[in-house]
Amino acid sequence: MSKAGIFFVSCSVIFFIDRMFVHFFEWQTFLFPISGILFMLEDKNGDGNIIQLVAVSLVFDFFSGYSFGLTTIVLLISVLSGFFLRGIFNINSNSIVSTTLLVLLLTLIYAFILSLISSPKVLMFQIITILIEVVCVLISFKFLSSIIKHNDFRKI
Amino acid sequence: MRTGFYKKYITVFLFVLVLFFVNTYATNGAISNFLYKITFESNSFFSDKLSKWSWFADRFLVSADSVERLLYLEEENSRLRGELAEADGIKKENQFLRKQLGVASRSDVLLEVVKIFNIERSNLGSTALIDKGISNKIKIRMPVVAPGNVLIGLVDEVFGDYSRIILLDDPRIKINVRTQESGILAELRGLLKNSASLDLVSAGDKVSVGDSVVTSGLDGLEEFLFVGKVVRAEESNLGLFKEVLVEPEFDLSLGLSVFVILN
Repeated sequence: MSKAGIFFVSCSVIFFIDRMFVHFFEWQTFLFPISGILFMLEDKNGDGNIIQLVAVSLVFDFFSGYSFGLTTIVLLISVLSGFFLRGIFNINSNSIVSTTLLVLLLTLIYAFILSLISSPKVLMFQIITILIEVVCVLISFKFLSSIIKHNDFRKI
Repeated sequence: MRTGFYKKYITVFLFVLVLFFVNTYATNGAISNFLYKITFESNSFFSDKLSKWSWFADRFLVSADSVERLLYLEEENSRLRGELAEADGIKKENQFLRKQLGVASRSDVLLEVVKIFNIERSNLGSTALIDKGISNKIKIRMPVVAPGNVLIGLVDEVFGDYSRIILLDDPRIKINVRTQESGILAELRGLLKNSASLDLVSAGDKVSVGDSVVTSGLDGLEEFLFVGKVVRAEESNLGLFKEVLVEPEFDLSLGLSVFVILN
């Protein structure tokens, strides 16, 4: 399976989890933005994934509760910040620690921008959730990448 | 590679930006309206089922407390019946006095029956979609209520045939309210997870758990719409204001047919 294929399948699962978790466990997830950011950072060239990311993001956007397109714009801003930060600080994408920190930072940027539109108070409540989910997504990603041996699927 | 990436990025970004502005400002949400039309049936089905399952799961998980809860509800029910009878008497007396004094009665509210067909509780918002829009004279910031004048939320975005409402626990909600028992004015802000905070309640104000919260009418909303009950009232660490949490009264699992107050 190609990298894009894995991303689409993961996003379908996340879409399902998103709808279920909130109803049964009152747990609001940030799984999609975290996966989207990771998907973009994982690509060394960074020019092949953006269309796929936007296509999936628009689907999630439709169910976000915000004006259609808004969360995709915010996600694109976070992704761009990621590329700048990676360039400026010369972050090694092979290191799991630096990748975790970068994904965490970018997800916080994403949540921060959206909380400016809603209420800054919300970000304070969501920090722990974001932290837990970033760790979970990265562990799952590492686990998946060790199982699926594919040329395009580079280990982090 | 960088030039290639940025070229593609800028193109995609501009595309999404144009999509956002055209949809939100130029066409009154025509794209959203079209997408909601396509997904209306599936959305209705899943919202209905999920809310019922959620209700079931919720009740199932708290089954240990259910007897106690039932007793409490029975007690509350009889108390409310008494209050209803009293309110009925006051209403008649009020009508009689208005007639005697020649004071015009309050204008009757115009209601539009709507159906909630999608509930979205995401990480940064709590919204629902209703099946009426511009064509039914729905406008932004109109209150949405359940039977019994229980406030559900406010209309946030209106499309051709549909509208999006922000629920009371959405962080974007900002309503002027008062506590019914002590009459203290405060500002209600959503905190997600079916809870909201009462801001600007000073440390000296008497607010206690169980107090009812209603709209004050100071911000243009209809007065006395029931919002919810205070579930926590504690002194803040900062000392100036109290930390007051409110649980919105309306439970979406109890029914998806509601009303929009048009005037």
